[in-house]
Order: sequence, then C-alpha cells, then structure tokens
Amino acid sequence: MKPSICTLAFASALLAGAGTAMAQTRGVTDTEILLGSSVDLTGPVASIGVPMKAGFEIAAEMINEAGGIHGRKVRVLVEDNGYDTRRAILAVQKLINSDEAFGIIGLLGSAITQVALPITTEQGVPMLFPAAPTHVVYDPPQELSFGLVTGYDLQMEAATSYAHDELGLRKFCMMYQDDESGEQSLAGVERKLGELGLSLVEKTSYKRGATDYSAQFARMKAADCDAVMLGTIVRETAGAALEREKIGWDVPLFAPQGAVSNAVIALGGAAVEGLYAFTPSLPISLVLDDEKIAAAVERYKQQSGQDRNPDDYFLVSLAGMLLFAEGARNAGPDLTVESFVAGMEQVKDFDVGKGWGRMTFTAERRLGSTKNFAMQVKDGAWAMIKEID
Amino acid sequence: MVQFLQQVISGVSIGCVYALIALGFVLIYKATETVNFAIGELMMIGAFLGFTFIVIWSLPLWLAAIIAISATALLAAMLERVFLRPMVGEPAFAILVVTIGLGFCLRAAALMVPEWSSETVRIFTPLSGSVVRLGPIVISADHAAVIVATALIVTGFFVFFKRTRMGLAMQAVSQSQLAATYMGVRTRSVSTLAWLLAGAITAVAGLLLAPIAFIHVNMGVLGLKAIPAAIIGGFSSLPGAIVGGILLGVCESLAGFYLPAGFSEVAAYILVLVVLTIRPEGLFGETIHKRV
Amino acid sequence: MRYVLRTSYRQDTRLFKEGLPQYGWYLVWLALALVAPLFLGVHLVSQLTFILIFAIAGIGYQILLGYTGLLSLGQAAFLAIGAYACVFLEKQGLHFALALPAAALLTGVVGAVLGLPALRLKGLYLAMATMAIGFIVEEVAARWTFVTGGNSGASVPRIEAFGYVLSRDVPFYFLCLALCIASLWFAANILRSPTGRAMAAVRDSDIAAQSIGVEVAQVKTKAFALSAFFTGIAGALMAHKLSFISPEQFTLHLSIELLLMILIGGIGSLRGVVFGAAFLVAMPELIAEIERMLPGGSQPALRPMAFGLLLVLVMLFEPRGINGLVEKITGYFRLMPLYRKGMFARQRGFAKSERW
Repeated sequence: MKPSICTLAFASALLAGAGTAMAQTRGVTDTEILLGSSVDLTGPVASIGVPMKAGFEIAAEMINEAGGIHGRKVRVLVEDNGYDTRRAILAVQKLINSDEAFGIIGLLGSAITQVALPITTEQGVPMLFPAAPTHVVYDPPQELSFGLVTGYDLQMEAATSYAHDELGLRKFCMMYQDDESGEQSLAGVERKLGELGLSLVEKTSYKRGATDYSAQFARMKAADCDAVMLGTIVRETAGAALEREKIGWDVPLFAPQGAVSNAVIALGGAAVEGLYAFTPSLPISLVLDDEKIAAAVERYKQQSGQDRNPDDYFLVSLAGMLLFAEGARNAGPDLTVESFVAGMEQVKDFDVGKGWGRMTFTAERRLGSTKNFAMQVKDGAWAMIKEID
Repeated sequence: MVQFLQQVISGVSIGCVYALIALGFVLIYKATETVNFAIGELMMIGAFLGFTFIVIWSLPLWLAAIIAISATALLAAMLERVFLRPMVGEPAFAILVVTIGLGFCLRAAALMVPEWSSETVRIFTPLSGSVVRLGPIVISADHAAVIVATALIVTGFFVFFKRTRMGLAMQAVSQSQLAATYMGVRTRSVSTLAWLLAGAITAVAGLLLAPIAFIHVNMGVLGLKAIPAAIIGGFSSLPGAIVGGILLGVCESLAGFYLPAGFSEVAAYILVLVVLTIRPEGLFGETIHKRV
Repeated sequence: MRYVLRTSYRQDTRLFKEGLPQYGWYLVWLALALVAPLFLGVHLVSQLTFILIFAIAGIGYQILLGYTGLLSLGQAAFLAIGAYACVFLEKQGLHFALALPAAALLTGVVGAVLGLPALRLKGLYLAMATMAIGFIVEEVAARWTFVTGGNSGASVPRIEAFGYVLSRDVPFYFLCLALCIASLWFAANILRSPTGRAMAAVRDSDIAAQSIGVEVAQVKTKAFALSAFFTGIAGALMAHKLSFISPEQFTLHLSIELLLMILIGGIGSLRGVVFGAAFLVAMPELIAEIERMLPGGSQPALRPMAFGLLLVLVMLFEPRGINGLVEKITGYFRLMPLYRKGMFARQRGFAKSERW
C-alpha cells in the first residue's frame, strides 16, 4: 500500500509540474488580453469593491472603444473575496490557473495584497496597481510588482513634514491602530522624525474596532504634545476628533488617506473641522472637471442606475487600467510578460487624470508617483491645501 | 490624582454600558439558563432602530427612544418564542450555539436594511458637544447621561424585583424552576418576560452608546465584553453584573493609561481568567454543588 | 451514536466497527483523493488542501468537544501557536520535517497548561475561559514582534526537500493528505483505547466517571493536550498554505467557524469532521454562486445569514449534522424491510438544571 501512494504522489506531482510550462503568453490571444482582479463584493468593504469592479469594466470599455491595445480588447474578470485572505488566495489561484489571466490588477486591501503577492511572484504573473496603501508592493522593488497608491508610511511622512515645515510643530504624539496599516503609518512618522532629529513624545495604540479612545488621548495630553498624528481609518478618525473635542484639547490632528471621506465629516460633525489628511489621489468630487473622469463617472451612473458619485476607489481602478494600457501599448504587438515589463519601464510622466501625480516607472522605481495631497476639512468639506511631492 | 480620577470617571461611563448589557445577559440566564451570545446584536438592532426613528424619521427624542426600546424588547421576546422555546431540554451548549447563530442572523438582517448596511452613523443629541465640569475633572454630557441613566434603570430593577409580583416570580423561577411551577408561577411567561426585559435593557444600552461611540453593524462585539462582566460579577447575580461591568470599564481605562499598549485590550479577559481561577463562582455568586 | 448492528463484543473496540465493507469504502475514497490532482485544476486542488487542513483542526476540536464534552471557543489560539511556532523554528534554520512535529508538540504542551484552569471549570465558564485565552494569544501574537513579526505579519518560508519545492500546490496537497490520514488513523486509535473511552465517560457524566475510577482531571488534561496537538499541526499547515501569517487571521471568528464545522459535519464523529471541513470550504463558493444568480449582484448579508441560519437549523432539526443524515440514510437502506418509523427519533434528555 505505502509504496504505491508514494509513486502515485510523485507521478502526479511531476505531471502537474510539467503542465505549467506553456508555449503562449498566459491570458493573451490574438483578439483579447485577460486581466484578473479580486475585490470584496460581499463583505465589510463591499461598498468600495463594487464600484471598483465597475471601474475596471468601464475603463476596459473605454479602452476597447478607442481601438483596444494593438488590436486586442481588454477584459477584466473580477472574483469576490469577501475581504477574507483565505478566499483571496483561492480567487487569485483560480484567476491565474483556471482563467489564465495575464496579470492581477487592483487587488483591494493590504492584507489581501500581501497574501497574493507571493503567489503572483512565484507564478510569474504581474501584480498591477493594487488598491493597497502598503510599501510591500513597491519597496523593495520587484520585477513584476507595480504600485500606484503611496503606502501609509509615505502618506504620514508627508504629514510629518507638513506639520514640521509649514506649521512649525515640534512635539509629536501618535495614536495608531494596532494592525498592519497603523504600524505602517507609525513607521512613516518615525522615519521622518528621525530625519528631522526628533522623536515621538508619546505613542499609543488601540485595537481595531475600539470605540473609546479616552485613555489614549489622556496619555497624549499628559505628554503635552502640539501635534497628534493618527494611524487611523474612517470611523476611528472621527472618534479621535470627538475625543479631542470632549477633553477640550486644541491640538491639530493629522491622518492618512482613509480619513479623506465624507463619512468622517458626517460622523464627526463640528469636531473634525480643521482635521488634516494626506492622500495620493483627490476625492472624486474635486476632479469631476477632468473630462475623462467625468465621462467614466457618467457611465457609472447610467450603468448602476444611481445618481450618486461612486466611491473614490473607483478612480484607483480607472488609473490602474489606464497605466496598464499604456504599458501594454509600449510593449508592442508581441505582448509577453517580459515585453510588458519593458513597456512599463518606458512609462514616463504619464498623466492618468486629474488628482494624481505624474507616473514614472523604472527598474528601480516601482511606484508611479510619490506625490501626496494635503487635505483639510474646511466648513464641513474636504479641501486641498497643498501638493507635496 | 486628577488624571487618575479622570480615567476612573471615563471608565465608569463605558463600564455602565457593559453593566447594562451584562444585566440583560444575567436576567436571561437566571430565568431560562440560556447563555445568550446574541445580546450584543440585540443592542446593535436597538441602536439602529433609534437612529432610524430619530434621524431618518425625525421623531422627537423621547418618543423615538420609547418606540425603539419596545420594538427591540418585542424582537427579543419573539426570538425566545420561536427559536429557544423548542430547545428546552437540549444540552446547554446546544442552546448557546443557537444564540450564536441568532447573533449572525441579526447582523445579516441589519445588513439587509439599505440605510444601515456598511454605514457608520451617529445620533446627535441635544447634549452632544457640551461638557460637565466637576472641579478639575471634565466629563462630556453624553457620558454623564450614560451614568445617570444606568443609575435610574438599576433602581427601577431593584424596585421591580423587590416589590412587584412578577419580579418575585422571576426570582422564584431563578431559584428553582420546578418549585416555582408547583407554587403556581407560570414559568413560560416568566422566560418570555426575561427576554423582553433583556431586550429593552440592551436597547437602552445601544441608545446610550450611540452618541459616544457610533452605530455600525459590527458594534455587537461590544456584547462580548458583557460576558466577562457577568462572570466577574458571578453570573447569576444582578448586582454582580452591575459591579462587574463597571469594574471592567474602570480596569480597561486605567490599563490603557498606565500600562503598556496591548494590556487595555485584554484587561477584561485577564481579569476573567484570574477570577475564574481564584473564585470560579465570581465575586457575588453563590456556590451550588450538584447532587449526585 | 452509530447504528451498528453488533454481532460480537469485540466489535465495539475494533477500528472499523462494521468490518470489511467499511474498509472497502474508505479505500475507494482514498483512491479518489490520490488521483484527484490528475483531473482537477490547481484551484480545486487548493480547495481540497484547505479541506484537509480544516479536517485536521477539526479532529482536534472533535476530541475536545465531541468526545470529552469540553466546549472551547479558543481553538484559533492553538492554530496560531502551531503556525507561529512552526514558522519561527523554520526561520531559525530547522527543516520543516522537524519544525512541524516540534511545533505540534509545543502546542500540545501549551494546550495542557492552558487546560489547567479548565479542570475546575465546566460548560459556559470553560467556554469563556478559552475565549479569553483566544483573545490573549491574539494580542500576544500582535505584540511579540521578535517571534511573530507583529501586526505587519510574517512571510512563511517555502518547504524544500531533496531539491524539490514541497509547498507548491500539488505536492503540498499530498503532504496534507498524508498528514490528514495519519491524524485520522491516530485519533481513531486513541478513541478506542482506554483513554478515549474515559473521555466519553467524562463527557456523559463526570461524576459517574469519577465514581468508576476515571481520573477526571487527567483525562481532561489529556484531551486538551491532544486537541492542541492536532490543531497545532493544522495551524502550521495553514501558515504554509497561506504563505503569510498575521494575528488577524486567528480571531474569535475562526474559532466559531471551526465550531460550525464540527456541528454541521456531525458532533462526536471523525467522519463528520471531514464532512464539516468540506462544507466549510464549499459554502462560500456556493454562496458566491447564489449571488451570481441574484438580480442585485452583491448581497453582503447572505454570508452571515447562511452561517447563522445553518447553526440554528442544525441545532433545531439535525443535531448530529451531515454525518447524522448520512447514517440515517444508509441505515434506512441497510434495514430496508425492517425499517420502522421513528427508529432514529431523537431522545430528549431532560437533564435540566445543570447549573454551571
């Protein structure tokens, strides 16, 4: 019994190994390029994932109507992952192995991207512009991984230098969420402070889903700092602003990308007035005068039958697709992974639409742009106050 | 010292919310021996109902609160009649699993309401934004309201259990269901009543929490804190639940301020483990030995 | 609670209670599992791998809950300990072949230690204590950055043996299959040994068990250690399958998923564990299929609703889960002419007032 199991195991293992070598580029036919993506369509962040899916599809339509890429049409297959790492792995494997996608575009979420990256790397599939503010995508640079969104660390570095240079603040405190996102924010702040020869006066964390920040704020207030850096997402940013108001402490707050949302203003009310936040892309409401974006949003409204603007992540889908199309065009008619990488490395000062930095990729630079926008809540709405390169 | 008192006060106010949920939890346990893991979700539903009536339908605050509390109470009673009545006589752990399942269903139900799902909302009260000052100690009016409301409810319960027929009947049932039945107490209506009351209390907790900590579909996890509170207090003791809840709130708050990061999140659970190891019957519990 | 037609006393302690036909069926399943990768794509093989990993975790849970009657809501903690221990040892240069058993043993020891307070606790108190342990372990995983990599998570090294990468899809499937079969075989043998029978005695009534000379404390400790041992193996395998671990993978939700798996599969049966694991992996796919058919597209409520309703309905109508259904159906055909209505009716034990 035993030896037969072993031989069978080896035989089928060898067979499977042999099966992966292939003649033609995966996902590319004479008429079509297939991309795969996996976002949350049914889970906790479905309100972001659903418009992202629409974004891929609308961008593909627009690219195809303009003649496609060297005669090939682009198609994006989007798999649901429910914001669950286990299902994301299965989805990415399915996209690569069963559907044979050329690349994986726009994965939503840092944790999802981190579990998917080893798979795409091992299978030799490009990881394209995930909607994940994490440095893992571009730092250290990897051959097949391309980033669009700055990591939380870069965003908070920008926040720190803004607070230091423009506002003249010197005593920094920080409250962060004790998970990957919060720790990245923390790393960014600490790195920048190190460069400036300063260090955090007090740092304190809270658990994801926490509702009470009184102990954290009491600690920071006791440390008597003049700037509070936040490693928070949406709800916690508003919660922090309310806590600051409650204890009557007049200190400026600085948050990363997640804060730039109307939900923060709705929840925080007057308490979030004056809040600073730093983001790689402007919210949709500020870029509707861009023709391309306005056209895409118009299509979204028609297709979804809703009159509301899509979530801001819709723009991440659009920008990612435009960048992919540019890279694939540069690669020439013979599209392979190698020619695509070479094509991406020719992308220079490329404009993906209003509200983004100009994108440049080289062999050492796998993040298109390090630009961040400084935003502030003024009279109950987000306003852009400075562009930081 | 001021710092310390400030932390204690802020711990007491969040602890009052724990205490209210724990109270609902213990009420159900005493009357029906059911461990209700869905209690946090009941609180979430209560808070969302309040939000719907106050913000969306713009009813007056008091009217909206009354409707939300009664609706949650009825929902709880209905759950008892439909899902838990048939489970009488099944092993206790099977009943516990049913309540876990009900918790998931309630959360799913909340996700199905378009105005509730995937949105975080907040109820603004006339008190929002103002603060109460006690010498050097500052406390927001919303937090003070939580403490006052809890005190009122606890007094109400005390009177109910000591002075009314139904309250006495509930006490009797919790001592011995069989004996109570023989004495003419209608045990079935008592267990429905327990769920009704528990639903009402958790709805109050949800409404009190709404101005200070936002309403969202996953706020039910706060209910998990009520269980340690109940255990610390001795699980079958109503005053114990109150003390346990407040103690828990204060411990978390102090741990957050004085101890390194991480301790405040697990303070509740460390406390529970300590209590369970040293005094498994809780601070206020009575020891009951099983007769063979 | 199998409906075995007994023809001798020896039958009760045999590995397969029904003799030869049962061997036959298991061999068919084994053969199917062995040739599956030849016919299925990598994606489905991955799904099968997850089923096997969950089955191993389920064996651990079944020993604790199904056989000893101890309800734990902290199984995710054991998965986490197994996963982190294995990855840490590998990063120290130990080969997977040594790191896996070491991690599993370590988890077993931790399980025995954590089981100590459980000796005094029963029912809900035990559930709460284990839940507390689950939260604490999650927090430790987030804070003990030196070993765990903290909240940023840690990547998992590849498994290589004889110049061959074992952690790739198909070889890893066979690795998990071998470990799953070994675990099932090991568990089945423990359960028919005196230890296993003592466990069942403790489950049915610990006072009665004590009075016939069973060392209740010792049995409970053993149950915890064994449970943690198997769960630790599963944790290490899961880490390699996911190739990235972070504390947020090991939450209370995972413990509850494992509980659902045991209950749906069938409590008190090793076969039920495999059914449950298959169900747990298939359910999200099924729900995704259903969603595709719905007009509105996405429906975030579907998953928690299915999860919750299943828990409630199974407890109300089929407390023995899928395994119970299978046994009823096979039992019906086996007893064809003799089948009476109500033969498999549940007995209600009105063992009321078991105050915890």
